[in-house]
This record gives sequence, structure tokens and C-alpha cells, in this order.
Amino acid sequence: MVFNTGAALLDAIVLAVVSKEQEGTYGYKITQEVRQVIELSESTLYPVLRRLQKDECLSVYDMECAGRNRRYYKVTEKGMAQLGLYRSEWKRYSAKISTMFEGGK
Amino acid sequence: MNRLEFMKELEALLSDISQSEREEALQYYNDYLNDAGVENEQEVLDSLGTPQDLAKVIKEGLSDGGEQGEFTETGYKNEALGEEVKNEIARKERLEKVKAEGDTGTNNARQLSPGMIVLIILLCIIALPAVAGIAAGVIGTGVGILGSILGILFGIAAAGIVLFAAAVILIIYGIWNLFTAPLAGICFVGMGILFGGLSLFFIWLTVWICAKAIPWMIRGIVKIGTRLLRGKGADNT
Repeated sequence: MVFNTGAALLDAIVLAVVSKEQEGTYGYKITQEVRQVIELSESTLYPVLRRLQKDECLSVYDMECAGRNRRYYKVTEKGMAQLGLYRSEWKRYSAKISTMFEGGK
Repeated sequence: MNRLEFMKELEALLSDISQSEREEALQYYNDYLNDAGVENEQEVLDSLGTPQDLAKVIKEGLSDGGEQGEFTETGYKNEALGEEVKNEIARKERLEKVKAEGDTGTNNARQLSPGMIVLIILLCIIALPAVAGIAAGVIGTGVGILGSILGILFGIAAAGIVLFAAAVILIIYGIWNLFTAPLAGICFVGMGILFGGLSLFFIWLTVWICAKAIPWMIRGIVKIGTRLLRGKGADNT
């Protein structure tokens, strides 16, 4: 990837991925889905998830699965509001860049 | 390194963060490895890097809220591991440059000739005694300073105890003499009180050195030591 992704965009992508699952989703799955759009090492996502959790954008709960506890992440109301903000910002920003690239009006 | 060894080492490396943070991180990566499945376990472990790298990423996330991370064309870049990523980019640029030079026929191999390698090895061997001597000198100086500090401490402590004993004896002897030779008795008692004051001062000094000065010095030494060991890393934080 040529373009750099800042922390805010990574937050937005993670929130978008987690918000797709009503019942919440878990670390491994989130990592795999984020990796479909950006390059990401296996170790990277933990600090991001932990921070979003501390910022109360994500809530966690443990659910038993195949005889062991697995930690699930879910987007909170605050997280949804944050994601909405990211979405509208991205729309505005990407539209401006696209206009610039395509010759402008 | 297998999974058990990896997690064990990671846990040890995270011993300086709070228990809840440590458990949280360990659970996450345990879950992660479980979900990756046994067949992918080694691959995931390899891509997680060394336990040291991973511990760094976890701690970095704790200290600054993870705002330093950034994605570049070589993947995610974290200040903790930024040096390596930068090196990677620099290496790529160098390779491209060398390639470009090769295309125009000006590629001059920067490899060392066998003669140069032998020379460097010889220089290393010659320098070894000098390096060993300097190291021994530094260690010797350190031990010497430590020894002299301990010596002074013992001296002060001993002076305090001896003076205290002398003071007690002088006062008792003085009081005893008050009845037979009052003048000498008062002199002895006075000297005893003087010695007692001095001994209290020395004892106080000993306690102060043990409680304040030595811990302060040890902290200083540890600080210098970690700075030397971490090298450039310490400047970044």
C-alpha cells in the first residue's frame, strides 16, 4: 500500500468491522477482516482494541465456545457515534481528494 | 520456540505492567492462537515476532494510547519497532539504487575483499587485550569506589558506637566522682555529655546514609546502566 493509514483511520476500520456483528466478534476474526483491506501484522490489533475499549467505544464480554472462554468485542453506543463521525468525515475527505485527482470542477 | 515457551516468556516480559493489563493481553493472544487453530499455530507465532517485540507493542499501546502507530507501504509501523521498519525501507531504497546503477554499468560492488576481512579480524584480535584491560579497569574502579564508601560507612558507625560507650562510661565515672572530687566529676560528666552528642550525630549520619544516600546512589547507577543498555531506545521515550 502506498498511502499511510493513521491511527484514526485504523480505529474507523476496526469499529466498522466490529459493528457488522450484532452479537460481537473476536480478535482473530477482526484481524482477518481488517487484513482484507489493509496490511496488518498479527500483533498490531491488540493495542488498538484495548484503547477503543478504554475509550468506551468497544465493550467486551466472555462467552464459552468449544469448552473455553473466548473474548468478544461489541461496539457501544459511543462507538457507534464515533463510527458515524468517521464515516461522514471520510466521505467528505475522500470526495475532496477524488475531485482533485479527477481534474476538479 | 513453541507456543508454551512463547507465552511463558511473554508473561515474564510483561511482569512490570499491572496484573489486569497482563492478564488481558495474555488472554487476547491465547484466544488468538486458539482461534487460529493448531495447524496455523506456528505460522501465527512466527508472524507475531519475538516475545520481546510483542511485549514492546503491548507496552507501547499502554503508555501512549497507541497513537504513534501508522501504516506505511511496508505495513503497520509502530514507534516501538519503527527503527526496523525504517531500516527495511532504507534497505529497499538502497537495493533499488544499486539496481539502477547496475543498469547503467556503474555498479561498483561495495563488498569487502578477503584481504580486508582478514585485516579487520586481525585488528579485532589485537584490540582485544586493550579492551579487556579497559573493562577490568572500569570494573576495578567501581569495586574500589563501592569498597571505600562501605569503609567510610563502617568507620562512621564504629565511631558512633565507641563514642556512645565512652560517653556512658564517662558520665557514670563522673557521677561517681562527684561525691569525692566534685570538680573532676563535673569535668567527666561534661565530657561524657559532649561525647554523647557526637555519638548521636554519628549514629544519625549512619542511619541517613543507609536510608537515603545509598538507595539514591543505587537508583542513579541503575538509571545509568539502563540508559547504557538501551542506548538510543531510551532517547526516544
